[in-house]
Amino acid sequence: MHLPKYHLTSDIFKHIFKFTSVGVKGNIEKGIHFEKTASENVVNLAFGDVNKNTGKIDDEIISNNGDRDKILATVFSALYIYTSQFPEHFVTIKGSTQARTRLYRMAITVYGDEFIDEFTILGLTKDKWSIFKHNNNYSAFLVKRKIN
Amino acid sequence: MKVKEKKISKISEVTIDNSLNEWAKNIEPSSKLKEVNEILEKYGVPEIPNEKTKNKESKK
Repeated sequence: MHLPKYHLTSDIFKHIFKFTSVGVKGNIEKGIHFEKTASENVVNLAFGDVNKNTGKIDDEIISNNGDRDKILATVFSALYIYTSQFPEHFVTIKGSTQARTRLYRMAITVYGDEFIDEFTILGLTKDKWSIFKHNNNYSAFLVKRKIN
Repeated sequence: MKVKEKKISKISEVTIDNSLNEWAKNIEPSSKLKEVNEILEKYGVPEIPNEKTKNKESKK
């Protein structure tokens, strides 16, 4: 099974990606930014609608364009591309709301064994990072590409 | 020979758009970055084994 997804464009260094969501509310420009954090070799996955006026990625907006699964597959594709280029980097994934973080957890579960084969995935519980388990709740994720 | 199908990675194609280079340089931090930095400061970044072969062995 191949998951449908949108075609991505990126800057030359593959730090930032853009695609267009096509759905019930029309065409919406989406951005994915692997932004530097204060920790070396750790980037944060920022994702949301691109504000045409400011260029900022708005990660709090809810577009409800009816293409959630395709969008998630596209975001995970960008994660694959980024971590192919920078396998030594950790990527934090944290939703702008707890519901969105749960959505990321669901996506990891849906992509299942293949995703777990490709990435080491840690989830943040109350007081520590621990290896991802499908039914646990986490407030954030930390993923790193596995090396062959 | 059976080739393992990759559901997501194999279908990932990306087009380089040089117009995004400036955007990448100037984009503002996300609303979550401050919180993420606080998490990383508080809980650190654990050392994790990341070789596929080690994990496969541990599954046996």
